[in-house]
Amino acid sequence: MILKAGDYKYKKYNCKYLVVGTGAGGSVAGTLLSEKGLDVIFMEEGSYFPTSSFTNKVGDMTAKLYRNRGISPLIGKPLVALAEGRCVGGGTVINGEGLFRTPKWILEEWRKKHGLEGYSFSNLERHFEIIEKNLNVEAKSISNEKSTNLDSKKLIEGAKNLNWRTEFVPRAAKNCQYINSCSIGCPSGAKQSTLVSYLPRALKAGAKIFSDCRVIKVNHSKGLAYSVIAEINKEGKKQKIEVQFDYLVLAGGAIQTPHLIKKSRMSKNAGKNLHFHMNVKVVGCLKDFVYAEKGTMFPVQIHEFENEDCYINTSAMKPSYLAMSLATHGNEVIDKAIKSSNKMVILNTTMRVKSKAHIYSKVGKNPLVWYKFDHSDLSRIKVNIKRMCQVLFEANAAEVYLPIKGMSLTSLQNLDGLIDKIKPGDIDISTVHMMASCPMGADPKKSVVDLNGNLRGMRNVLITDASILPTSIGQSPQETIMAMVHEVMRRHFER
Amino acid sequence: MWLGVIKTITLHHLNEIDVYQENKSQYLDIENDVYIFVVEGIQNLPIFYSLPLKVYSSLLGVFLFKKGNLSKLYKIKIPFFGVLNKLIKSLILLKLFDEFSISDINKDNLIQEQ
Repeated sequence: MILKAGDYKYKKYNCKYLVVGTGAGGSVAGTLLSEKGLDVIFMEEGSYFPTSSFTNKVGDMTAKLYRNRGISPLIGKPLVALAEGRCVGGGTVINGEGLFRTPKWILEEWRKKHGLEGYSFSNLERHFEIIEKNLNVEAKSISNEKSTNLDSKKLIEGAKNLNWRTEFVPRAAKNCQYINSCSIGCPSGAKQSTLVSYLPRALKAGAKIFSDCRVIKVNHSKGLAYSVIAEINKEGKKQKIEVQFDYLVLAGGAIQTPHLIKKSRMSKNAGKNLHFHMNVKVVGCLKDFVYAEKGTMFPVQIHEFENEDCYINTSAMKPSYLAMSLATHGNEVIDKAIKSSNKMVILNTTMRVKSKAHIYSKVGKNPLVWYKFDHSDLSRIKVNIKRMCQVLFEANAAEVYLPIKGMSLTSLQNLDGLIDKIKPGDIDISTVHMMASCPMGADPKKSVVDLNGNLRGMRNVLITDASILPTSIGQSPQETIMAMVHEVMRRHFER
Repeated sequence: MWLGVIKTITLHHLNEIDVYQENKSQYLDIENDVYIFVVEGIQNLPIFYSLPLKVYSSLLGVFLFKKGNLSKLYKIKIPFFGVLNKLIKSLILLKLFDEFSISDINKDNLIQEQ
């Protein structure tokens, strides 16, 4: 049963387990609980959009599926645009469907520095296998594709000329239709978001989903949470409901979870050390036709620089994305790019950075997120812009547009001189991965969540989302979140 | 006042985009659709983002009224104008190319390929 705004007949509801959030973490936790025969309610701030409602219109779908149309600002210099999902299925509905096992060395770092015993690669491997089976994950070669993913083939060609290692991306998809709509809700249902994988299982097992329902406060007393107050926005009129529970599972994501915790005065340490990945894009106009819209978001990645936690791949391609990637350039550049869109390629580097953010929750209903730019990140950004330019020219680019106002190149000749002049405020940076705002750890002073996923100071509150990761990981965190949640739930059931 | 400024900046960008100029006659009310998308985008932001943007836009409105046109605004450097301009431009671009048939725009490329 899925309730939408307008379906809420009562002011009070109750359940055994209340799961706040339906993304990668919440859906796994709620599904495992409901399949144990437990009474589960999911609460989701966003609306429910079935696969049949997804269209090819970027603006419309972004307004429906993303918080603040995908341009929530992270305050700092430069401003960073954060794209965050807000719908039933959360971020899994709008991500690139790349599922990566947590790098072994990251898990080792977590064990040594944060005391995460029992979360080693061998401990999590069984969970990775289950998740990959559930979501049909496969690293499929594109070598035999003749008319699809030509932009990624060009990426391979460029990387090969530079002797850089590439790998096919393990993707969660069944019968992909190559329509490059991963980031606006897959209209074919091929992408195995939680909307089409975990949540239907939970519903089948008897769970209920309350959509259009934003939890604004957790009521608690003496270390025991007992109910939440949620707001339903029905045609501009706000209605409040209360849901009582025995156990609360928070999975609203790395920004909303600590915000709710702070608003409800459950922990002072939540939201203090938010990690994020920076994404920087370079756009290339090739001499050949690549029809980048015919393909998938990123079937291939350059892994040559994985020891630096930097990964280069093609990005989502729609005319709107192409134009937005060039928003710092003049309108004449956008015109030119749109008219040649069949030859355009957008490359993106995802990188782990030292800059950290902080969540401020004292004023208003929404969190304010600001960050301090760590200047050591500037050189990493510059190096990766240079790498993207190199690979594009090796792939036969005629012109390359940098993520800096008015900066473009027709050869690599002047690149070093141009890059040297770049200041942090000049660069167009975005992010889609936020983590570690309620880190798990053995030390109560340095962590918000204990090794079993329990919020410290509370006896019946679990956290099961990206916020419990002790640090960022460099890659898309979906599989890491899911594996951590599988382990947290295993421990919970054991007790 | 702030809505007037948002509309002026939106129109400024739309008028600079040739693809829009060449194709707008085929689409009903596209200018208004894009403008509404931009306004809703700003209004739906949390209040501590949307309120300063509205106040700032209103102040710009006073400035525009005195100076007479927007092009001067792009020539002189006004603090934070770049942020507002980029936000509006991003929202315009997000919506605009949903409406246009890109295969029509790219027909020259397709002819070249054949």
